Amino acid sequence: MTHSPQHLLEVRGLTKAYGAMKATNDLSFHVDRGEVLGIGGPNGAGKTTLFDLLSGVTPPTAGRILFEGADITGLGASAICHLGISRTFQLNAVFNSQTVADNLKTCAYFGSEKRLVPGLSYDRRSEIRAAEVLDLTGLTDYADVMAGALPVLQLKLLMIGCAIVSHPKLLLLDEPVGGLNPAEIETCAAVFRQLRDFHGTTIVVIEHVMSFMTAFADRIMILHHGAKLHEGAAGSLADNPEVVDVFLGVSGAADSRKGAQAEEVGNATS
Amino acid sequence: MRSMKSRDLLILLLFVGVLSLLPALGLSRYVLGQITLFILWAAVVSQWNLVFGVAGILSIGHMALFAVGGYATALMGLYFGMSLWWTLPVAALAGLLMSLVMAFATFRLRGAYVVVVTLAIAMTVYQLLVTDVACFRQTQSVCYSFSGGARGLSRFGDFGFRELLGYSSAPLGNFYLSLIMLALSILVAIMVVYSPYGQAFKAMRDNEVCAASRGIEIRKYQAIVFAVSGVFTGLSGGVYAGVIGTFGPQVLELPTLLFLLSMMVVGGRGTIWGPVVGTIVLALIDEGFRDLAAWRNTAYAAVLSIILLTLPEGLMGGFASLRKWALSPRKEG
Repeated sequence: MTHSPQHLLEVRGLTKAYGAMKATNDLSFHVDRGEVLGIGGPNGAGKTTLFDLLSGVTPPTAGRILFEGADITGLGASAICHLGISRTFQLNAVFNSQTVADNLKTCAYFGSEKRLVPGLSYDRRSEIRAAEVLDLTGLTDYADVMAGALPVLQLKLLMIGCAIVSHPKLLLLDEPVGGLNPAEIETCAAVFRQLRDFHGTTIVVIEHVMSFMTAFADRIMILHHGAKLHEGAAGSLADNPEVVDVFLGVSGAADSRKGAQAEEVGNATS
Repeated sequence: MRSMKSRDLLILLLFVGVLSLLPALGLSRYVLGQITLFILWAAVVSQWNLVFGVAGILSIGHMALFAVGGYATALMGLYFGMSLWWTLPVAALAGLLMSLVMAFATFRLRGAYVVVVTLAIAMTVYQLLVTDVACFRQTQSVCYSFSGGARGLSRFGDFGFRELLGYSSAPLGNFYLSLIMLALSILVAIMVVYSPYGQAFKAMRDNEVCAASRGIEIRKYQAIVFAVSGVFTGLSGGVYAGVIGTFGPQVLELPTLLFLLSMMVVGGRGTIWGPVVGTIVLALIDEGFRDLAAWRNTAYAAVLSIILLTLPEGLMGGFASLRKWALSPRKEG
């Protein structure tokens, strides 16, 4: 443990092939501690596949994934969760038949460490963490509601809550604000900023809402056909003609400039 | 969640209390026998429900766990002349081993494939039993096979209630032993459902990929739910063998399977009290159609169909929705 790696996450030559189709194609990148990396790209670019590989949901065909310097390639989803990488899903992925509070307790209890022989009741630490996340996400009023009966914003917040209640070092957010209106996006963004600024959580976020992403991310990587099309500071996105051509379009480029400017203004005033 | 657990423990206490007073009504030997039988079925269905309803693993080969438990008791009583009390731990162990076979066979399977494989395992056990015709022991002119074959086993002993309580009160001993088995089965179900184990099982059922990504080791908890259920189902099989006095491959036949499956579905799978409610309903139908034996299976099927069409979550699910509706605030109009 004397080795202190510079990058929190390092991906080398990662490939996932389904037959002849390469959903992820020889992809290499890294994520540093405390930064926010945004991932964009057109539909089918391999963004979610990349998350599936990083979170152990599917094993890669080739390449290596290093987390805190250790090789985690091929580990299962639960083992990777215990190491401190937590992800959210694009579709509604909560435990519908449990209440909001029980969802959080379950995720806190099983997510934060490997439970060799679980007890017959939740430990105090899991209950405290669940209460903290209820507070952080503003779900306290919904604590006893069945997750399956939640409105869409609260459902998204619960999905995020379940991912962060285990105190991950690296949080992978898959389209966390897709389908939300601007006010609801701001509610979620406030939670993410809190995580980044006060909990020091490193975040990788996939999102199509470019104004949100350019405002939130430090760096942005654009994928196309499973490979890297662009990587750079959030403001640089609209300057790459290829990115505008393949992904953003002209109006999208304007959106992304707006987001980046809003972030600069925000930083200047704070 | 804690208050729900206390509530269910209280209901269990009241339920067992009421049942334990039933013999005071002066029931006939037949009625007491039927109640004893259905109490044991309820114990089995409660345990089956942990796998099928709570963890969402669609195993319908559950009666194989019951059968190995029953055969363990019957065979040991028959060949070693053991007191059946001493065979019960072996029955539980047999149920555990069989459940682990089921768990390993279904690790990589989901949904309908689990149905097929678990049924195949149960049918394999059934076929092994009914095709066992080789002569193992000879009494006078009759030849018996090792497992009793299609005829099953009998005269392997009992729990000794006749010596202890006298001939006329022996059924009471069987009744109370069965009631203890049911109480144990429901108590285990309550402890499991409201523990982190139960939450992990439900999480697997609700969304397996998400559960794995939240740190729940899917296979481990699949094995655990099968193991718990296997121990207590095997134990129920042993108690059943001793209480009824005969044990045969009929418990593995389709009508028995459908009967018990109906209890779970009618009552409400995945709930603590669904299996008990379902057993009571099916027991009433069973009694109601006693003189119309030809219509009995039709009646089961009709009730099962009606419940599936009108209350897919079973009577307990319907009850929960009704309560929610009654308690929900309504606009003044």
